[in-house]
Amino acid sequence: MKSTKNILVLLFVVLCPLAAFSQNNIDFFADTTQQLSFSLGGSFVYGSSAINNEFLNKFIYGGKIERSHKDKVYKSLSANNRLGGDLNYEVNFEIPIDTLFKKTSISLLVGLENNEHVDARFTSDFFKFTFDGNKQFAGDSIDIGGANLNYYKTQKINIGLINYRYFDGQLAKEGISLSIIKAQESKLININEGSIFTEEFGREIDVELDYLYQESDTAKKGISAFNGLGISIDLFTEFILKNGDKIYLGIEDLGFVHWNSNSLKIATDNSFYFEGVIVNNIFDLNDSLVSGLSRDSIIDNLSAENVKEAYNVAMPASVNINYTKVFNEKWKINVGIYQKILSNYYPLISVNGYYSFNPKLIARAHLSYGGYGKLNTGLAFSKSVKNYFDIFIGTNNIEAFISTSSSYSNSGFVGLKAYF
Amino acid sequence: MTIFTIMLIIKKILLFCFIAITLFSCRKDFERPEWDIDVLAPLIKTTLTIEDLLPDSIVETNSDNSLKLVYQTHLFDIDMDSIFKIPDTTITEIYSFPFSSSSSPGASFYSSDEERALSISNGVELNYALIESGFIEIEIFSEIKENMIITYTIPSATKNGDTLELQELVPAATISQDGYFITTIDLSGYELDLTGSTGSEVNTFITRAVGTVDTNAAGSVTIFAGTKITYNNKLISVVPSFVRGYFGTQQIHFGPEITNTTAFDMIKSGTLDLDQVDVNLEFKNGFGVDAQLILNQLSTTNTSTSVTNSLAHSSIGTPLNLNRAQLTGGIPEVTYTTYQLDMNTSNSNIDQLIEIFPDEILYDLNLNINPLGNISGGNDFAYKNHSLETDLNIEFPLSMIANGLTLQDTVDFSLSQDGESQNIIDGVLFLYADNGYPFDANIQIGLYDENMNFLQNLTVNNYIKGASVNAALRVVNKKESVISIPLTVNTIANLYATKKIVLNVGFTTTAQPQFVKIYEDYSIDIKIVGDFSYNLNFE
Repeated sequence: MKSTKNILVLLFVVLCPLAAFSQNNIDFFADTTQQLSFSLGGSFVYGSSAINNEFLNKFIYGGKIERSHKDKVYKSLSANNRLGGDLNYEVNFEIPIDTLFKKTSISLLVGLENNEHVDARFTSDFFKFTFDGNKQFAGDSIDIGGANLNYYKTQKINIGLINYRYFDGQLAKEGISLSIIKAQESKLININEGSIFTEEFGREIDVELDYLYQESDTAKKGISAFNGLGISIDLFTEFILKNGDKIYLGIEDLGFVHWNSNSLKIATDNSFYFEGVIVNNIFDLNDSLVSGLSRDSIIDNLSAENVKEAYNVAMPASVNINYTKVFNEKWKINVGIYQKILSNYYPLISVNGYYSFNPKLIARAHLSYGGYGKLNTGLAFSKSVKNYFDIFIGTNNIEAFISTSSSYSNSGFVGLKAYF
Repeated sequence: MTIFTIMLIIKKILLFCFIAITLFSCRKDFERPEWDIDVLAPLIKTTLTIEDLLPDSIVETNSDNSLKLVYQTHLFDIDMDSIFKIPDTTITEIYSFPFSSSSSPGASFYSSDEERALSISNGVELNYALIESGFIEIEIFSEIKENMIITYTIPSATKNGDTLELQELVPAATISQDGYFITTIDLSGYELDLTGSTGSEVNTFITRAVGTVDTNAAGSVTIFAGTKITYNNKLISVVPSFVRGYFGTQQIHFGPEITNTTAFDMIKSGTLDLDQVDVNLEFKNGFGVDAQLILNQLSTTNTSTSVTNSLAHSSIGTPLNLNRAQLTGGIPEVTYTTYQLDMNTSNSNIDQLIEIFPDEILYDLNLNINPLGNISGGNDFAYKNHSLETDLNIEFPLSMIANGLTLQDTVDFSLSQDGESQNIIDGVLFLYADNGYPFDANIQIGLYDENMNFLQNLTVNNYIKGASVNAALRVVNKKESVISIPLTVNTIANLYATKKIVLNVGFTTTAQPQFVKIYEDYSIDIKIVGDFSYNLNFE
């Protein structure tokens, strides 16, 4: 009985993915029956194909980025580099419905989410220019074409339905969730073509730029800012194979946001030749010179179009495919591929091995490659407390805590799920 | 579902929320990242012309496109009040009744016309004056024991055709005190006929007083012999805008007087040898009177170097005849007559007066008014707004030999503490100069705070090299120079505190010992490039 129970526990882990955490595979203890539950969790992930954690941590958490930090990154730069990250908080209620369409196996899913996402693509020159300036390129051109950056901050209300199905005693779920997106903030930069030439002695700078910059209403920031409205949909389903293995298919966050007409658009496709602020009287060295060199004046010079207008953005959506095989009541393995489209993300191929110490405590080892970073190794634990709470905590980047200079991603997740 | 079950669920939710809040309230606002970058960028592009180098000068172009500097300064004025003044004057008129009489209410009992002479200085004999400003105060003391009405008229004073007239009640005298009345009349705009009752006198005006018993008196009043009425007429601050008459034959000495000049304020040191200097001393006579001017001394002084040079020219001590101005009958009211005294390096040592870069000009002169007497028949005139003016016009072609000729300028400067510039760590400013002028330029830059407390001098490596000239002493190609100004961390800190920059630029002409001319098309192209270490942060 005990081994059967353990197997069931492992099965539940597989069968109950928490949509927003699907990248992390954090369903350790699955529902045994359809019941009222309340879950709450948070996760973060960030990484880069070229920038190590030592550098990323400085960039994210603050502090001085030193020469040595930059030199290490230089060794990893390629012609096309990526970085990205997500921060997510969410709370969900899953409420069994007595009958819906004469079915008793359906639960209503209601939830709130806060999402913050950033991703970018950049050239080697772009990075060197950004973090070391243009002096190193004196007499040469800096190639910044192809770089882009996408930053979003949104809040969502999720409403969905989950259908519980049984195959030979195993529980599988399928569901759909519709999200209304309250769009808080966005910044989008897309440099189609771009180069910056610095004359050998710095006496002139030639900029050729085809770029588009869009930003949500700059006057409204913070959680109360309502700068746009969007909609997205999550779909998932699970299949139980004849041998008892399970396949999970899911699409998440498929949708778009309409950013309102107070949004800023700056665009240009021209060249710009700068020889310094032209002054009529060099003996008038005051703020006007400084203002002539200011960020705003440079933007003015670079901008062919500087308007306020609405824009629509297809939000990053993810596709998740998992295959899970249970070996025995203690061991289970899960392999999958995860891809986040429209976000400079590389397909993440992952393998997760689960070990159940006892029915109340499970450990999970993680190995993956791709995503925003490179090789990821993780470890997570989940504890069930008196059948009332499931608690989990973990990371997919244990290497980030061991060697920040040789790791390229970091992540963490923590959550609670309560049953009533 | 029982109450117990509901309570259990509520308890679970509260516990869950507590744990959740504890876990997720840990996110804080992180420290901001920062890093240093090396920026190499052009900052300023400018072209300096001679107008920029000598901002307070008038530069004119000669026919050969060479330039000359023109300085014009006002040396001195001789105003109307130097020729004469109408002093404040009190004229007392006492009328004493010769015999006793009785007058009924409304009856005139007294009438008197008097001529009054103005005390005008310097023997000036005026026959007409238009008053610009001033007052006449009329004070009356009456010993008559009844109210009386005094009508006081100055027939010589008219304004828009109306005679100046005053009719006032003077209260009755008591046993112990005279009846007393005082008033002040504004004379602005009045015309004064100063020819008296005969029309041939000068400096003389007529007054008329008429006394009448108050019509409201209770009855007749007896005026005893010896009863007096006293009038005090006080002229106060009378300034005419125009006068006519004979201004007398006067000899007026002016000086020695010093007038300051800022024309050479920018020049602080060095030597300058000018190929040619033309000075024109122009006297403009706005008075309707002939005059003779004798320039006793004209000298210049540089108070910094305590060097003084006096003019040696044939005009010194020689009478210069200035003809009288003419009335136009319109606006402007007069046509000035001018006398021009031309001095140059051939007929004087005027170049020496200029080459010391003076800040003081001293003059001493005599002015003889009407040296030939009253040849105008009393028709000399003077307007207050038209005087005898003296202008000094200096022209010198920019053909010179300069050695370390140092121009100094103080310019306002402010680096915003809030701007992007505040993140500069250190670096070097490079000044790339394409010099089209035939002179070397050494630059010194001093930093000062808002109270002109010295902070530091910037280190300036190298100097701007002068362009070479061809056989015709003309610049053909510009000369490129690179000057570096290191900006250390301390220097950057001082730059933020700097509110004034004192620039000293010392010029030394090339092709010495020949004079080189400055032409209209000469200029210096300057680019300032910043090579900075810059701290980027996201505060």
